Amino acid sequence: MSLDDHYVDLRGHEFSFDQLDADERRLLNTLMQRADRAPPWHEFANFWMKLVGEFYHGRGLSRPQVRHTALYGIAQDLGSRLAVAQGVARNPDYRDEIEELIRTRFKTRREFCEATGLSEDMLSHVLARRKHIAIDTLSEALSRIGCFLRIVPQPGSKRPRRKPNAVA
Amino acid sequence: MVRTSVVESSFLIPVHRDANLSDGWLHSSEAWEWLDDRLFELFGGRTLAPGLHQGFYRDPDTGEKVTDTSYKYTVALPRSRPKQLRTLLSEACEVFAQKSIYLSVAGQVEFIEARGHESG
Repeated sequence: MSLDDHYVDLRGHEFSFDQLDADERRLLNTLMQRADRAPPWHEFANFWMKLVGEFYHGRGLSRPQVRHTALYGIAQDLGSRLAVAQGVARNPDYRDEIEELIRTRFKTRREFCEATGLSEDMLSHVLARRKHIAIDTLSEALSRIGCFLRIVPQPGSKRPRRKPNAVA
Repeated sequence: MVRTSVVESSFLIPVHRDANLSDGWLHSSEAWEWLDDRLFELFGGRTLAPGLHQGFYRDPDTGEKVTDTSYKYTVALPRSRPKQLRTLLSEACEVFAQKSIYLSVAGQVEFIEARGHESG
């Protein structure tokens, strides 16, 4: 798969343009053209959600279904890139993922530490951005709760320049 | 056609994590995406007001004056579902590392706090 036929978001998830039909590709072109003009983040955020929502509601999709479409994911990521570029958000890192793990799978930080073997003191420093955690320590801790580390494309890397082929 | 009765509600999300509760950093793009996803699924969307809103308050824990800069979200809230928005904002306190979030529903202001999630 070449860079011209897929989109990689800030988290390294790939969206193939092959799964988009002609109307979706036209809509994606519209979104990319708007994002290329670097509008304020809030403006683009309002624009894409209304456009994508109405498009798929017109096709009878429910809101949860819309949220899991490739177009929703790409549009949202285009917005996130604007937010980062405009200094109102930052790229996520492994510490954000640890925080999300704790929030969604554990009742407390203590419970997370008990499950992973990490010390609460270490975790506190790491989540406060005062320290990093050694990669082998983190890898071992995550394996205890059924997770693993993976390498993904750097968030700052350029998104594909070529627009998907739209049917006229 | 049956129309759902809705009421305008708005809330403020500071652009930085609480410096006392957390590290004072900008939120990650994932935090903003989380909020968008929840608002889209629950209420079908939201409107972000232009610009940043400056404000200040007294931190209940430290007693110090805290200034913040926030984005203002507006949601068309079905009259029958105010609890869903409060629950969502309670979760948002954790995701955005805030002690509380300012919410206005039809002109009535309240401060939503995080659910009882032990941090230590």
